[in-house]
Amino acid sequence: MTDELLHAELSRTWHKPTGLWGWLTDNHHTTIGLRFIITAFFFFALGGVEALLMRTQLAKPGNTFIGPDLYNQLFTTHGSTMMFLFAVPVMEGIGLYFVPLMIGTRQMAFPRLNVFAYFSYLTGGLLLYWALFSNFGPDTGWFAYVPLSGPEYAPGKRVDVWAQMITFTEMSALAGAVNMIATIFKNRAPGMSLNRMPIFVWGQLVTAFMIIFAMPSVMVASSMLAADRLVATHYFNVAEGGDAILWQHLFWFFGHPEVYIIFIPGTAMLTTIIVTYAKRPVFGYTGMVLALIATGFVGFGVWVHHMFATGLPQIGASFFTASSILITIPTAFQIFAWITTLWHGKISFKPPVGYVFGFMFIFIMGGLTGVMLASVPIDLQVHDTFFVVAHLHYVLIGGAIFPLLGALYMWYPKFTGRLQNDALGWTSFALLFIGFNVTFFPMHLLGLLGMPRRVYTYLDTLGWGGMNFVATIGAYVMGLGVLLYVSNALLSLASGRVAGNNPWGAATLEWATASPPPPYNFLYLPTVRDRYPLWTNAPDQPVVVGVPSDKREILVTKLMDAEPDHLYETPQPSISPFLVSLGSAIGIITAIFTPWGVPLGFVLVALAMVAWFWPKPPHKELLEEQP
Amino acid sequence: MSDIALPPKRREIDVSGLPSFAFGNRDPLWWGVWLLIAIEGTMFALLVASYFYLRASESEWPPTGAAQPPLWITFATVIALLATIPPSYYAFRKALDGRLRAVQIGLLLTTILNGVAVVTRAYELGMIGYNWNSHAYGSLVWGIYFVHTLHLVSGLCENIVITALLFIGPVEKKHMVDVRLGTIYWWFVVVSWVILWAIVFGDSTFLRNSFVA
Repeated sequence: MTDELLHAELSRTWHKPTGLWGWLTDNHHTTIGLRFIITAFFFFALGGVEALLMRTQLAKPGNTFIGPDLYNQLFTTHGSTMMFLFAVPVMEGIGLYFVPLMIGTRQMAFPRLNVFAYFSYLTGGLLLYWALFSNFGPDTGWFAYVPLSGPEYAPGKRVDVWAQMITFTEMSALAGAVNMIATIFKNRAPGMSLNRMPIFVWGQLVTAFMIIFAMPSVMVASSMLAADRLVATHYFNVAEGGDAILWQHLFWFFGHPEVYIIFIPGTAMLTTIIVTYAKRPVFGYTGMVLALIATGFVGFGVWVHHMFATGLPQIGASFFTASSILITIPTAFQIFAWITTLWHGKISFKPPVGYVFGFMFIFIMGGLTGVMLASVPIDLQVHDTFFVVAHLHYVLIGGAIFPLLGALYMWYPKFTGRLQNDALGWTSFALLFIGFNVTFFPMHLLGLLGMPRRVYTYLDTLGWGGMNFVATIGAYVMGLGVLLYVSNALLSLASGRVAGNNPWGAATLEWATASPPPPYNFLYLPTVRDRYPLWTNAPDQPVVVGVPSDKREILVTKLMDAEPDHLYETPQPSISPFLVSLGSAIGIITAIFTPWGVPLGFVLVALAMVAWFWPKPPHKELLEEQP
Repeated sequence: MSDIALPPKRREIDVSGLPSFAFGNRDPLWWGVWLLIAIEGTMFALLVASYFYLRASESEWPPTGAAQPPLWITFATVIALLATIPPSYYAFRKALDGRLRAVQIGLLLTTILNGVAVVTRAYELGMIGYNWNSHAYGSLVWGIYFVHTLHLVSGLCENIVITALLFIGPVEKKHMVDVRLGTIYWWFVVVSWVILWAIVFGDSTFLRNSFVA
């Protein structure tokens, strides 16, 4: 078959359905990945507006711009949005888009599960914002501590909305994680043994495993909370043998790994940016991979450092101080490896490199305040003050958002086929970097002066007005930076220079195909012989032939060394994953109001699942008599 | 179009002769099922951890007056569940050779015993002498029962659907992979209950009020 014929047939087989029906059924990993990213940025914008509203309220002492009740809803929704509706889904979306391209396959292992994951996530987000816009948004903080969030102190349905938003987003993240692991383990291009995988893929793999073991904890906790509120169980009710601290253990056993679930993809993106623009292999590949894995493990052993102020036994607290400080070892290894890579590379100074240096500055600051906070005496002093707010934003914005913005700039040509305007790119980076530090640096000092978190105003006589005003100015500068970043992306859609397949001369397989990739990703599935295929593949590097092009088949390879093993037919577009998420949405949202939502959801989901899994009749040609 | 620069005479790896399915860890779905088991196993483990966390700060455990269901009825469920293992293992083995009749028989027996376990479970729940809102102990035991019963009933749905599919057809060879994966998941449902049952009833039978605060 000639290349032209093959292209025609693959295009027909992998055709993306369009229109509303297509939107509900299409299961291409690029479609779903991009959809995750765009939806996540939509929620990011909402979370950012909430932040600006809060900063406006805090700009001067005794301000009356926003009342205490709305302020409580805003900080709760801001935190919940940024963690559950932005950071995790956006990292997942980028993984869904790029992992199959980077490992040289045509589809994720379980395409329909992706569709389910997306709609669950979307429903959870819409539920939260429906509540906020109807003025019954959750108001007990993104971690919803009991007893404040329990039936006694939080009557009404606000906290239940929060708990069910958790159910939706965690289902989505878990589905994505299962899919990611199976894809990375089984669908790699021939030759891509585990030790030849791009660091970005390793980051997604470690993150997915962390999700598998961390997210169940918050689901158990939020279900217990919902049960306490709805059917009067006593998990957290001290009067009947429950325990409020149990909530904190369950929540932070998820909550701290969550930080690394956001941060590990961030560092993996950073490595990708550095390798791309320094144009050399990463220094210490094996160490980098081990650092990611070590962070994944140690990340599960530090959760109690969020609970130092609860009066836990001191011996336990010192163990968690030690494990929290331990995490600096793999992180420091990565930082020195990045510096070494940059040092010995030929850096081409594009805006993503700005984000790399921005990361170095901001994240290292956040890491240092992290070491301070890991120590019990300091933590007790600054607990629940703006010092913690400063620390967590330095870590999360520095460690995840800067790499993310840099990586999206780097990958933009792959999504769209166009290059962005570098001058605008640098300007938006500068605004973000300056705005970020102007916003959050004063918060360290405000925290040391004793300004508590989560209060809607403060007295003039406390002398916090000046620094708060500065922080508010910084927030608006950041807002401007985000606006410019997004405008650059939107303007370049139409007017950017055409990028070609590999505008940066990068090494990994996503750059080996057209920009944007065709629906079948690669005309011939590629093979690789080391970690940087586009730099080092032989001129006559073999390609894979014989994957049927009239069905959506992908090549399954072996776990360790990715030798070809068997062919696997992936499903056509179908409405059933949407129906399953619709059924679970009806059940879960009903369960906010009555326990009968649980059996209702069960029945609806079971029916939709049968429709999902009932096999289609075998291909017609098999039934027909062969001549 | 493709975009790996292709020299006029490229080398090729022809995979057209490879099979269209595989058993065990060669199969992507096998990983999917085990990861699902990891997720749900973590959930059970966290419930058990919560159980012991709350237990550690109580002076009576179970609380006075918390009447457990009679042990014989809890045994009945455990025995019905364990009894599914031989027929499901038979189906699991025979699926490898694609022996449809044997697989049908194995799964039919599994499904019937699964149904028996659902019935005894219903009696069990009716005989618990306290409620989920009686005390934290009640919340925990009912919570554990609730989560496992969801698994038991979904297991029944799954077993019915797979068995029905095998009888109605058309059955393809690759459905034998699904049979084996369904069986693995079912064993998880069985084994997790044996462990949870041993913890909850072992504790209230042999360790009543020991190691309390």
